[in-house]
Amino acid sequence: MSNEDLSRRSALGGGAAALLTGIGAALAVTAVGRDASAQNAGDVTALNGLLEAEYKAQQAYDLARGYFMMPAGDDPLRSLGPSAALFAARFRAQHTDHATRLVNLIRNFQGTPISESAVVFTPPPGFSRTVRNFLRAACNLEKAAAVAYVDALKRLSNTNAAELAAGVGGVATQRFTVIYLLLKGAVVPGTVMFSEANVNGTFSANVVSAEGAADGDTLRGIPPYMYM
Amino acid sequence: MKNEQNSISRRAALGFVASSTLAVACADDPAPTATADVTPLNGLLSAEYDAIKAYEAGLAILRSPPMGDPFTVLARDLARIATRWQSQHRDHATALEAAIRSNYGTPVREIDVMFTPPNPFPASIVNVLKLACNKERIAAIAYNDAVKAMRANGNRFLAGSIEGDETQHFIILHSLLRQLAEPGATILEADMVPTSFVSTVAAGTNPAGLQTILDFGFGAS
Repeated sequence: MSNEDLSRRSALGGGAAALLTGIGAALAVTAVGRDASAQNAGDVTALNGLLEAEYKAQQAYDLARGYFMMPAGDDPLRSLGPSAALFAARFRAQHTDHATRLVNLIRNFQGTPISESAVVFTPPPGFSRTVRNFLRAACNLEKAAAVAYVDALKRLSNTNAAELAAGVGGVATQRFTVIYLLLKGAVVPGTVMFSEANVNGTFSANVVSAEGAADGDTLRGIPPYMYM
Repeated sequence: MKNEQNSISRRAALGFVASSTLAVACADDPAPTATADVTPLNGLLSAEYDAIKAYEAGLAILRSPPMGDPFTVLARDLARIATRWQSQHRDHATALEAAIRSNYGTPVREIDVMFTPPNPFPASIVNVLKLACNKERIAAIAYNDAVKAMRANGNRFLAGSIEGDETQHFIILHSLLRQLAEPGATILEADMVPTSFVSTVAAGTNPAGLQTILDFGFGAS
């Protein structure tokens, strides 16, 4: 066997090996792509469930805010209306922010976000329009949302999706606890003049933390208290 | 009967040999390696121990406020709340310890975590509130960062479930300090952040989450 033959065989062998390696790599990439695609699909489903709850919360706060601005004359908590309206506006804005973040993430995963117009908030059975009832409804919604966001962490596979769910869930619990304490009488509105600036400043963080979020939108943006 | 006894003793001997072989095999197996999540979990556990000790230092001031402190009238209620939240941090630590062990890691020891008060830190009730608020905010961010850093869904879930408890502590303190809210006439400790976790966790002394809190019903007013 000539050296030429050997080198040709060797070259052919090398070519076949390279071809096989290439096919193997291509198959592996396809499998990885399929896995990633399946994971993304799972995440999209979970994120769309959270998005639906955000749209419902927005509509609930719109209804609540409308009533808080003009409560019925005989509503026992009528005097709370203007302050409650400030909180409702801020909390509504936070839900809008969350929905936007969820929509962007779903699109990043090549998914289709559910349409806002397809979601309808229906007041619960037995609901009558009073300041206290709107606070109760908001508290129930925030509690359910907080649990849903944390439970989603059991299923979400993407790191950014998990970070966002935790970051939004941590803000839902803030709204829950403030309304809950107010309803329980454990806290009462403070002596400070309520203003949009003060309410928005206190609840400035839309998320605890999230990929790409400006510090001002997160708890990182709240300066530490100094000791005097 | 003799044959039976023979057969029993043979079985026993075989069983002994089998179990001895198994024991030797087990002894030869290397201990499972700690998962990558153990490091962030231990970081969170250290922060919980630090918080427990910070609340202990704060409680000493709340139980015996400095003479003339303008918030002395609130001290007793605040001490009850601080005691409750300290116990919630203890619940978090217990759950984290369990998670670290199930990830084949060794939990940091409470005795090895030292709390150092900020400097300067004049003793006053409002400074206790500020210290707690600062620590709760940092803890919430640390939990969120850990969710991103960890790989196992179960560990992410635990971190998220604790994170939302820290944010509740934070926002109550923040609202009090910004004077948006003040303590009401009837404070029940059980209402001041009603559960140690947002969603019920598998292990721990008080594993219940917010789903165990009944929804509010709706009335005529």
